[in-house]
Amino acid sequence: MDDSLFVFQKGFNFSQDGPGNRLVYHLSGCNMICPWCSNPEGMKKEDYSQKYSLSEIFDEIISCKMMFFDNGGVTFTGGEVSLQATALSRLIKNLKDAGIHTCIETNASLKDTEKLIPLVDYMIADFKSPDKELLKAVTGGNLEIIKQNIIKRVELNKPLLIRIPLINNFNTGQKNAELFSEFFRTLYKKSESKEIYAEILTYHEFGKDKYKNLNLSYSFNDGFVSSEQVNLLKSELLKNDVKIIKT
Amino acid sequence: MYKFNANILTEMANKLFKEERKINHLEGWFVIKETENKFEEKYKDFSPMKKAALKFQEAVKVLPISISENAIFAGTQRDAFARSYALINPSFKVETFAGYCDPTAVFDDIDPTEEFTKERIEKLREAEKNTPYVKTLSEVYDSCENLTGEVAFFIEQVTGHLIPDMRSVLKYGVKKLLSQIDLKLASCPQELKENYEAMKISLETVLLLTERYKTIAEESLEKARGERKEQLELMVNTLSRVPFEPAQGLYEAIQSYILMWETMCLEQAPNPFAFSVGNADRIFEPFRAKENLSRDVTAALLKHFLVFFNVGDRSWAISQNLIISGRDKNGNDLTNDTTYALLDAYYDMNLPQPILSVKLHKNTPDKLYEELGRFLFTPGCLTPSLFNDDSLYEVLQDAGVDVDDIEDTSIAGCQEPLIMGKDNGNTTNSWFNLGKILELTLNNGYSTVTGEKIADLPSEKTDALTTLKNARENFYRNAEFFCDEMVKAANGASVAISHLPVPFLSTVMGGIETGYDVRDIKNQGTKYNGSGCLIHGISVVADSFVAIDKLLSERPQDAERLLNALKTNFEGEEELREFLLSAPKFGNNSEKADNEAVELTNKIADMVRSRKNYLGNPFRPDFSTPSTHLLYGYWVGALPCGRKSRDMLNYGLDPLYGEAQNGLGFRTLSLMKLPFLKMCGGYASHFGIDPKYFTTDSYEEKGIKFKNKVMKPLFFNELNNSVAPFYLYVNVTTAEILRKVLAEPKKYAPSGVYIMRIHGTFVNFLDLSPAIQQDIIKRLDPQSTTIC
Repeated sequence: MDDSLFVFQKGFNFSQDGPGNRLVYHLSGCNMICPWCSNPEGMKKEDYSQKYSLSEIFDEIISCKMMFFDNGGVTFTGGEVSLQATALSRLIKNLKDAGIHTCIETNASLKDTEKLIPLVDYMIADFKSPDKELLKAVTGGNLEIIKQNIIKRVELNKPLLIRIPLINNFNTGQKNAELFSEFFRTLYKKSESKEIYAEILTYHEFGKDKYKNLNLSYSFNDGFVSSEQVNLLKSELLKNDVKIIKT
Repeated sequence: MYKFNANILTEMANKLFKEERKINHLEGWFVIKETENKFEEKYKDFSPMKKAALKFQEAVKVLPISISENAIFAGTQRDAFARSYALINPSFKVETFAGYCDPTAVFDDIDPTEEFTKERIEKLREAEKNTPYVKTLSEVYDSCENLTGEVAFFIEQVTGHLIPDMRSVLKYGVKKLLSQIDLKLASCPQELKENYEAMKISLETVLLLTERYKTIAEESLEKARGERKEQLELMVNTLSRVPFEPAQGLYEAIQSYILMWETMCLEQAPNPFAFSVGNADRIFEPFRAKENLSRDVTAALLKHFLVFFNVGDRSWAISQNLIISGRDKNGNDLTNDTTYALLDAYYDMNLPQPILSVKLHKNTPDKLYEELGRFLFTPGCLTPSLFNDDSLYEVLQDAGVDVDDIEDTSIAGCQEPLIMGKDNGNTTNSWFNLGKILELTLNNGYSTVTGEKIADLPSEKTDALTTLKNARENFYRNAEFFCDEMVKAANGASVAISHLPVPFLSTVMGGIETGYDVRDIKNQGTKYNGSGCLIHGISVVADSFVAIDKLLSERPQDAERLLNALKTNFEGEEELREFLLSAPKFGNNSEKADNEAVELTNKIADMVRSRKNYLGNPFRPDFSTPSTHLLYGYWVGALPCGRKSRDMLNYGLDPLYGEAQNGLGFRTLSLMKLPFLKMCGGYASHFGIDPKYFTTDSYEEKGIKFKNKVMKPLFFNELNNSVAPFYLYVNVTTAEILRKVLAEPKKYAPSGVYIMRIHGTFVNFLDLSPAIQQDIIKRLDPQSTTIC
């Protein structure tokens, strides 16, 4: 369906999903299965979602212009936005024509993400683990595609925020910190604008109640990180001149 | 000279409040009424105003008074209030609200004792029944009982609810006012002579009260030792000077203010509700600055000032508003050092009264937002009401207020803007229930709640389809009828209250200039005058019209089914109700629903504004529902929007709970479409905000984030070309947190005080009646409070 989008949640958020005040659409369906996901209701496209025609969403976004202050705009997140990349790219083109600032937040693990990468004004990509095997095993994500997509964005010299969800027993420790940093070094080398930012998100369980309400079991344990674990990664990134921000 | 110690003063203020909370009986008001009644005969030949002044003075002569050993100032307003206010009464039930006001019901609020025997109470009650005030008011209620019984509208006589201007007394002393009166007496027309004499007598009454306090302080001084002795010496010296003389420093200014305020309230015993202070920071700053007092000492003195506003075990003096900050007519910020000291005093004390309001504007310094952060994000701490001063300038100028006066805008009671010392707004004079009017419109004037015939409405014999097609037109026509009846009754209530003149209040409300009493119904005593009308049910009625349209367009064959379902409260019609609930609702940035709400608001505001009060001034549309969305909702049958019979109406301008399903951003967009310029009487809106969306570490950072996430888009949105919203109150909490507080009060509110806001006032959540507690919890429904 190229003329509609499936959305499971929408609302406004200030500066956490792109610059300024933003209208955020959570698109349904995800290709990954992160056990800590805070939006489990968005994992499957058919569940809990509402179908909107592109023109409906477009009109709604235009009617919200008053709320896009401080250089805000609209952000599409998920689930995973790339699962609806064809329809979404059409919408984003129209929004750009209407002068609306656009952003996607993506896990970047699908080939289709590349349809969106050149279109958006701001991109937020997750980089959950530098360990290919572990990433595949825990989340189902493909590290190679993720890296390719991120590099594509970097080569366009357009702003990119890379988020690392720091999770105990998954991606903490010195070795991981070094691998994360190494990837950033590669990116900065490829970028002329150097508009590459990193954000460390510490593990939380905000979504835990949702699992109960959805009759799902929350299987992840002991994910909370200590401030030492956070500082370790932080100092390793800073050592490599990575621009760290907090939204 | 006694040197103030902030810690000692704070400790005393805390003890003073504790002492006050232990008082579970209030009889001072009864002594006043009884004494006044006793002297009725003696002064019967004087004009009503002078008689009132003389009787009041007699009462103040005999009223038992005292000074607590923890008090740094002399004075209390305890003797002005009865334990009457329903919403903080644990036995209050929504079901028991009667659309009839018995002015002698206050005699039920005093428990007979050995001194105040049942006979004594009943004797005074009977005497009161024969006063012109009670007789007139009873006639008014009798005349509209059918229409107020199920609250198509409600009316009341307005007491309190004004903002006196005490600045002149603080600066120049009562002696200046007395000399102004003498000048007037020397040259005024004969008809004003007794008015001025009345004002003079009542100013002498505050001096008499001061003298009595001074005597008590002197007696205490004789026995006092150490620090207390020094305090009492200061008190005695101060009472020798103020309020007669100009106040020379902050301590004297507060003492002067307290005595004036006490007298003003005693004059209106037993119900001087909702008097407001005005911009306390600007009132007291010149005196603080004169002595260059530090922030902590200023705050400590102000803590005693704040305790003064709390009466008895449940802070029975409700809705007293105190405002801070704001701007001048050129947009310059007027925040000062006393603003911040007041915030410290409020935060440290966390008292149920007086209510704190803040005027914000686009040049408000970030420091103020930073300092407000702690109020918003400390659980169980009072939160200020927030006003947009930029919009208030536009709204009030449009309503005819001189631009030079707008700097003195403050809030009387909950959220009604008035000009300090110049404006008698009769703010709670009339209450208009659009939900009930729609119910009666669709059912030929019969109540679907009780089956009673409420009003003879023009009716045509017609089929259900036509009834629904004509619903809007007939609703607006009928609203005109109810509005006329309401205005007639409301003006009647103002006539009734005019039988109780208030010469003392008049001296700080412009009476010395005009020569007339604030309550005079023939001559305007204040520079500005109007009467308030609180309009209920905007979004449930707008949503109902939208739902009717949906039914007419998609399943017109069900028109009769809908009318029947409204009569049976949707019994067996769940599917139809679901269909109606699925229609667009106000609060979700839906063009159709929002446009309907805009049209309804415009039309009703114009209708109300076109009506004249007892002095020929327009009524002021006020879209607020201070818990009356519950009380009146109880008398409104099922509505086409899907709301069930007896459920609450929407609160103020907010969507009905559960109907704003897309979070605060969309609610904000819907709200901003409404015509605020027409809301010169005020309006109410509440955001419940989940603290988890504010993740920064410090209160200061949270305050700034609150500005950026909530206030800036709503109040100071650069892309909004219309008059922006000018009021908001928030509770930064969740339903879940409040349920925990109720379940384990000792754990979550060990002090027994957990301050919440309900409409414009704040209250101890634990003091509230269960119905109101549940209302607060319900309106924090997560879907409407999400910031994504």
